[in-house]
Amino acid sequence: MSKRRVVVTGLGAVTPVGLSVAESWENILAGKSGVAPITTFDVTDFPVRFGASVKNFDVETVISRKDAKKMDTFIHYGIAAAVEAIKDAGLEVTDANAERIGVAIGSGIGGLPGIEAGYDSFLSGGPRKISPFFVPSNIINMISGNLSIMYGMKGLILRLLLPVLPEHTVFRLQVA
Amino acid sequence: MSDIEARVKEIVVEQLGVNADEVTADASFIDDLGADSLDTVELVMALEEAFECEIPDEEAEKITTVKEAVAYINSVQS
Repeated sequence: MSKRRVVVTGLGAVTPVGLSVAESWENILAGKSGVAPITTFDVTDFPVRFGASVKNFDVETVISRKDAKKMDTFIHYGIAAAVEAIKDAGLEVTDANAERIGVAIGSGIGGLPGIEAGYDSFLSGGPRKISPFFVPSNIINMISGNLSIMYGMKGLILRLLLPVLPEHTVFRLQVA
Repeated sequence: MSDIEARVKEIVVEQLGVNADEVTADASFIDDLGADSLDTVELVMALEEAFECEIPDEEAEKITTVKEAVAYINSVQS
């Protein structure tokens, strides 16, 4: 079997300890913990009330408000990390290379909060109350999908299902 | 501006992520405000929610501007 090599040319990260590679790494080296009380949903009845959430993330720094509304949070995080990696790599998508650039980004579950909210809408209001964006906001391939649309990448678009890893810490950008 | 018109404009701003000054009575959701067909479906759902009415699909298709939305809501509320 021939040796096949992978070259990493850019990094990006949105983590519980930072909204970029530099900030996350600095905090990791400083021994700072990203674990804190959970504030994103009501944890009153849960025995465990802390977790390692992403904090102070402003999606509008990378995605317009209108587009962001149509994406669940896992897509926001994935795109923010990928945009940082693409900038770090100095990757420019052109007509000449667009079909040679693919995207492969993984997520643990995908848009679970969005799926729950959609089901709540269905239970309280019936099928008419399900948003037309229910599927594209929540399915797991939509970090890859939205990113490839943003940049015009036309190569192989993959989504990786990574059930044991937290979605906001896992992404991989492959340049074919 | 009627209360209904002000509320409709507010919903359009929120749903389509546009600036309030772009949302004139005659602005077309699709041609002027950048909505696509799915955006307009969701916009109509937001109008139904806000004005507690049900807008049938065949009526929803005819609502393409703020003015038309206001006219429709007035017609069902009167």
